Amino acid sequence: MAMAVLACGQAQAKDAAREIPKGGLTLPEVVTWLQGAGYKAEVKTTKDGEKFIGTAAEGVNFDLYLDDCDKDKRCTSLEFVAGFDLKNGLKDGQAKINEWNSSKRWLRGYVDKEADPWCIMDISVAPGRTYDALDDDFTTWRSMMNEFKSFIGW
Amino acid sequence: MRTLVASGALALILFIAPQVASARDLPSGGVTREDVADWLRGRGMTANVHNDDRGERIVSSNIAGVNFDIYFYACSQDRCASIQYAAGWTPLAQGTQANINAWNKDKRYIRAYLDGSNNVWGEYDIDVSPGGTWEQMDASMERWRSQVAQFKSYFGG
Repeated sequence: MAMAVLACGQAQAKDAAREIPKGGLTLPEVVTWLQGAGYKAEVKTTKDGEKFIGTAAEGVNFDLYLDDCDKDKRCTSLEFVAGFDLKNGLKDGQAKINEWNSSKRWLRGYVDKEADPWCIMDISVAPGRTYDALDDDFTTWRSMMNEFKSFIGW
Repeated sequence: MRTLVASGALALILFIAPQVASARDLPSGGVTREDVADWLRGRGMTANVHNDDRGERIVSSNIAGVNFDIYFYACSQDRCASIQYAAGWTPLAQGTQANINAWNKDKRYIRAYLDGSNNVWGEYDIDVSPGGTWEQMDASMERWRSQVAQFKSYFGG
């Protein structure tokens, strides 16, 4: 009985350790998570004073923004953003990116004024989410970003 | 429930607490169409499980005055690890390629596109396994509610 109680308690502690706090994640927690997964995480500031994280995967530099934040700077959503500077922009610009958006999942694409393509993925990290789920979302981002790279001829 | 922990009851609570937590967890492997339909009805929403015009089994519902469908992906047997909320409108005056591009640049969560008939579509993908919970599902529906209302207004639907 004592061992069963102990095992049960350990399982609970393990589960609790993988839960994301109800209010979401702070920027330092996202940095720690990224670095723990073996990725660089450089805290940067936009010209508007917003802090974000610069990182890289699959040979692509991309940024991570924290959104829907409370007064304690705990945020319930993350936004992954990658832009690709093509020499002559994306051929057929908006029509081509619409082809991506109509046939793929997860990442929404757009083209900027220079017809350079961008992709974005928004995820919720709270309430009711875990680091396991966040890891899974990150795998999806990396996989879909690879598809996006192929799609735009990067 | 956890606040009811009292001295002398620790051993009992160690067993009860994980069960309370797991009651909110989604089943391993994700959700079935029927799970989702029951969840929608539990929220007071309509839920119609049926085949779409391509024979794909989906759940249809309505929120904020918008009819929408839920598609199921990464399924093993009937249980699916991700779902997609989708809503479409017949061609809209503001549903131009430029406006679609602007939505995808400036807005969040919903991926917008035009199909071959210039119908306007908005889709939102979420991962529900591993590590998914009903609380997450509830939050995703609230997100969908607010975003799809914005989407409708943005394109004049």
